[in-house]
Amino acid sequence: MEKRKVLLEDGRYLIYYTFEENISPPATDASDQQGEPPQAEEDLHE
Amino acid sequence: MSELRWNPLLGEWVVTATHRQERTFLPPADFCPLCPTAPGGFPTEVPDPDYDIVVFENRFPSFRSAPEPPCVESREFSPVRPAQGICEVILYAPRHSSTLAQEPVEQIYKLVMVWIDRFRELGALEFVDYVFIFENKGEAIGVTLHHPHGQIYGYPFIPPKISRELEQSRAHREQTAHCLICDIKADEVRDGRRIITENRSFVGYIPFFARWPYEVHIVSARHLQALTDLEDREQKDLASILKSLLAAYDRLFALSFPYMMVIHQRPTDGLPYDYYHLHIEFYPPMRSANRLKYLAGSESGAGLFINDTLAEQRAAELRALITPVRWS
Repeated sequence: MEKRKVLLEDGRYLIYYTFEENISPPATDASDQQGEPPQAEEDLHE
Repeated sequence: MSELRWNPLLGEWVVTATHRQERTFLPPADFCPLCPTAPGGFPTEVPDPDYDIVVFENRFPSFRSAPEPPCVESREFSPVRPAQGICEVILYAPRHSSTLAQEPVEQIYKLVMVWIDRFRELGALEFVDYVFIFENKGEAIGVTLHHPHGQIYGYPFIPPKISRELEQSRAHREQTAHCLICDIKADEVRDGRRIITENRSFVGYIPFFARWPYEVHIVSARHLQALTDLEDREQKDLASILKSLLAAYDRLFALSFPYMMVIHQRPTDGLPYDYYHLHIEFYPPMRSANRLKYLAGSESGAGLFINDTLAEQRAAELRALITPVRWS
């Protein structure tokens, strides 16, 4: 991620954020239950 | 002109910001001030002809980094102070008719990264004690510009609702040595009836004590205090669960669902808050497909919310609308 800060005529700032073209999906593992009902409490908290 | 006026009855500040009466109100789509400035077109807030995500200082701020002196004198029962702080607008995408729910999950991940950057930068300011990231979505909430955007306030104090959560969390930690929100989350997971969606890093549920019919809390699985504590994988998981919930909201009544989204993090005043827990709360005002929940006499006058619905039933409705999130 890169940011470019510019000063507007009225003194306010504005920041343009730019990002890499390709964003990789999150790494998956066996405990990933996205969109599914809960299975095991132990998977979710300390 | 804006200033902070003290309410001794409630022991809290009120922001008086009279210039906000003049702010742009529901302009036509081809005169949106949050779209990129088209070549030869009228100048918007964003001079460039395109952008990915943009943040800028609000033209009509409630707080300023260099505020004017108050317009009235401070007295014993009417203390007043300058409204020093920051008000930023964050544009989610250049696409005028989009919403956060309609954006690809990759764009929501970018937004999470920008939230983290803003929390870090604004929280480092000496006069900002609390960074509050939020979105008001939909005319039902009072939105004046439809372009997809959120806001960030850098408050010069810890706001009342956060103070109360901190106090409850601190007391619970002292009594039990546990995190209050970890315990609530574990209880919700154990019960299961109010769970909406989850992944390895976050869980979303309608809390047992919901004030709003479709109120949802998204809570980090790890005991963290701020977005800046998230690892990259957790940032992506946050984007995934946000996309999952927002898409379900829009499916609920087959419309672009209005809501308030607020991010609760630790204060940035330099004190330790290891007893607190990062979470995001959604307050949708709809109680059915064509009825709104209003903050009426009991809610506004007594501070007591009356929820006409059962969290368990509403959670079942939302849970049935969850679908897998696809990363490209």
